[in-house]
Amino acid sequence: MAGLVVHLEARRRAAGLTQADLAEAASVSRKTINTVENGVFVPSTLLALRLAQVLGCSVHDLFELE
Amino acid sequence: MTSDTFATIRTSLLGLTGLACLAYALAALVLGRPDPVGWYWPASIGTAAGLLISLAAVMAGRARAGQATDDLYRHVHQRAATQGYWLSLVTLAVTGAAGAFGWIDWRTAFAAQGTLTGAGFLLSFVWLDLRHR
Repeated sequence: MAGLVVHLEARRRAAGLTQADLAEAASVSRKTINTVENGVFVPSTLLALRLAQVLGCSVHDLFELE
Repeated sequence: MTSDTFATIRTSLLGLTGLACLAYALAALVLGRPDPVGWYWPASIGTAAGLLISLAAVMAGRARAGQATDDLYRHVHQRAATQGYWLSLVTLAVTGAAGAFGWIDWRTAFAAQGTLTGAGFLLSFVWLDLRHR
């Protein structure tokens, strides 16, 4: 999505997790993680918060405005 | 069964049902009769698909099935419903005109429109789901 910068992949890799691991921990599908990382799908506030919680960081560490 | 496997089974079965509905509608329009094959086939295939998806969900377990029914699934479902709605309006105009001008009888138009409405949503869902893989 234009205007949104996604750092999810970098954060996930830094945490040593695969897409499947993160999907499992956040109770979503691996496809969802993949589409969020590629900027194809913008997650809901709830999912963004859950991803941040799983990765132990703030939502702003995962997503920021361009 | 992983959530990916469950999602693949679900998408495949919805796609098969959509294709069956589309084939029934096209056959009805081409042959000019409301029952080109047994009238119960589209409903039977849809019911069987629903049962198989439910069975797959039970086999996958609540957690895995829940993973496959997440935000992205709801997003795709909502977009498919929107596309299906507009597609059904277009096909309604076509089948309605065909019935009004006497090209096909109203029973055939009704059968074709009913199955095209189902096909529009189901095939839109599959198309959008595959694009998000």
